[in-house]
Amino acid sequence: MSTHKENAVIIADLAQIAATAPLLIPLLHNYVSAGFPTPADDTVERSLDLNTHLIQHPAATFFVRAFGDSMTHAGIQSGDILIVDRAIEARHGSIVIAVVNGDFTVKRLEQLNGNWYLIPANPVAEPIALSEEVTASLWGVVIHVIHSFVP
Amino acid sequence: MKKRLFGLVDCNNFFVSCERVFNHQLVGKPVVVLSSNDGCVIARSAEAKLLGIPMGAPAFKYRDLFRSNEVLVLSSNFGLYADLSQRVMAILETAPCDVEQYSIDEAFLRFNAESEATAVETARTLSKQIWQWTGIPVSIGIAPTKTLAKVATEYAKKDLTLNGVCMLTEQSAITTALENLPVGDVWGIGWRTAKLLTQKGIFTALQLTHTDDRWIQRKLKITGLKTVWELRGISCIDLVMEERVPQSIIRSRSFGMPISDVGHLKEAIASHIAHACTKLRAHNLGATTLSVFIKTNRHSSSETYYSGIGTIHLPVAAHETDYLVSKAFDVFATIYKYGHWYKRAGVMMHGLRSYEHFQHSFLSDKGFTTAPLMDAQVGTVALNPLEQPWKTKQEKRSPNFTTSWDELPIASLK
Repeated sequence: MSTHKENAVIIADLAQIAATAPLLIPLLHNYVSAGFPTPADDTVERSLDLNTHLIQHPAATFFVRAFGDSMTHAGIQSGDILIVDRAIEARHGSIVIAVVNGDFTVKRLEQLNGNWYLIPANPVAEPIALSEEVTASLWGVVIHVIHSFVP
Repeated sequence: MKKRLFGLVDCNNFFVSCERVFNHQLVGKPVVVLSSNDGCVIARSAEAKLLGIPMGAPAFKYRDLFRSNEVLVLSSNFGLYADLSQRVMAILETAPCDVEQYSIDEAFLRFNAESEATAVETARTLSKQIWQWTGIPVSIGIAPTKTLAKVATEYAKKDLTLNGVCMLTEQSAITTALENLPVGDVWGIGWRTAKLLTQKGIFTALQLTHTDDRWIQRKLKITGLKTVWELRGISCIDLVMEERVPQSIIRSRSFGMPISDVGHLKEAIASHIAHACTKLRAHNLGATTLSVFIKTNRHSSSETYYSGIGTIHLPVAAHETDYLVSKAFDVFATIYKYGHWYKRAGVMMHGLRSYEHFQHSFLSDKGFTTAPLMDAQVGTVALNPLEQPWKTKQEKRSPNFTTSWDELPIASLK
């Protein structure tokens, strides 16, 4: 059972911790992109910002976690975070998030003889031909993969 | 003369649509989303509407219907809905028109279009872009007034041949639309006003437009008169461009299960204060009056109903979390009665004014800049969910796909 006085102590401690904690910059805090850079901006040195460097369409960008047997030839391992952009057009060779039979999957998109195929990571598995009858759809294009060496 | 055109962008079945973006298994099926505490239906898919499930349906009452029709039931996930809403609004901000966000899933547009055709073109482009970028389907209505734009959006939703965009500028089309619109469905006419009107023999929006202005002004006041003029095609309600400043902040929640422990109650109250303070700080406001209330279950047969509320006036307009938490606890001590099982706790802040910086002796001399981080810490320091019986029930909430690193959607690498 906590008393009023105990609560006071806890909050004061938190204030101490907060004062020394590193400043957290939330990713994708705001989806409205910055306006046009002005000539004056060129003279100002700003810290490097991963958000603007990696993400062109914040409102269309989502994070998806990859899971399962690795797609190492594409540089994706299980547990990696994929940065997915829904705004850009998928092309031959794009790594995409596709919805196949209701589930998210990571596939390579390829075009062969005018037909589009979703190529799975497993070289033995069948490519999925995209046609009217197939229950598969493109969800977004993978633009970056975040692989961490520290847990 | 260039005719001014308004648009209304309305996300279709918004909460369900949000869930469908990340869960394809929900597509094409009857889906409902329940309010916080899994109380009543606050969103239905088109398929669920066809089953006759009304908006606001109490979940327990419709349990059997849900089961027999394999209706998928989800708890609300406002973190997800707010995030997707922000994205939709951000896309609208890039369009060649002024935007006023009206609700979590609606926004008014004011076109700077050269012609009606351009406005339609803009609307179609926006609709496509929102669908591709976020996976949210929208309907857009375009008309000479906001009130008529709302009517146009309803047609955009219902008439699939319109492909999600409906322009209502031609007088004969407007007349037909208003003829088929019950007066209670007009934007700005509530159920009480609707009752008053139908008693007078005014059943349709069209009939309302033919009603005498002086009578309308007398019975419906100036806002009602504006609504009628808007129905007639005369724009008198413009876009609200500045964010509305809140007059008061009220925050309360029902508990998942009744609680009597003082510590748990104070935790709930502290949480409400923290949230309210975040909102105050966002508007650079402070509160000069603070109320705290706790209630037992009104409908309980075993409990005598008890509702306690206490109010204090603060010397200055404050928004510091820990200061207001300490004041709230002072008030709580005066209203808490031992032996009761409480079902609900809440806080109210009134007399909101520009924030006044005040060196409270209670706080350390570290200043107030730590407040936002402190709120984040309060959230995480709070005990794990199992020890928070006051947290509302959310048994079937989807993961926080877009707001939690631990709950990202998962894609298989197979």
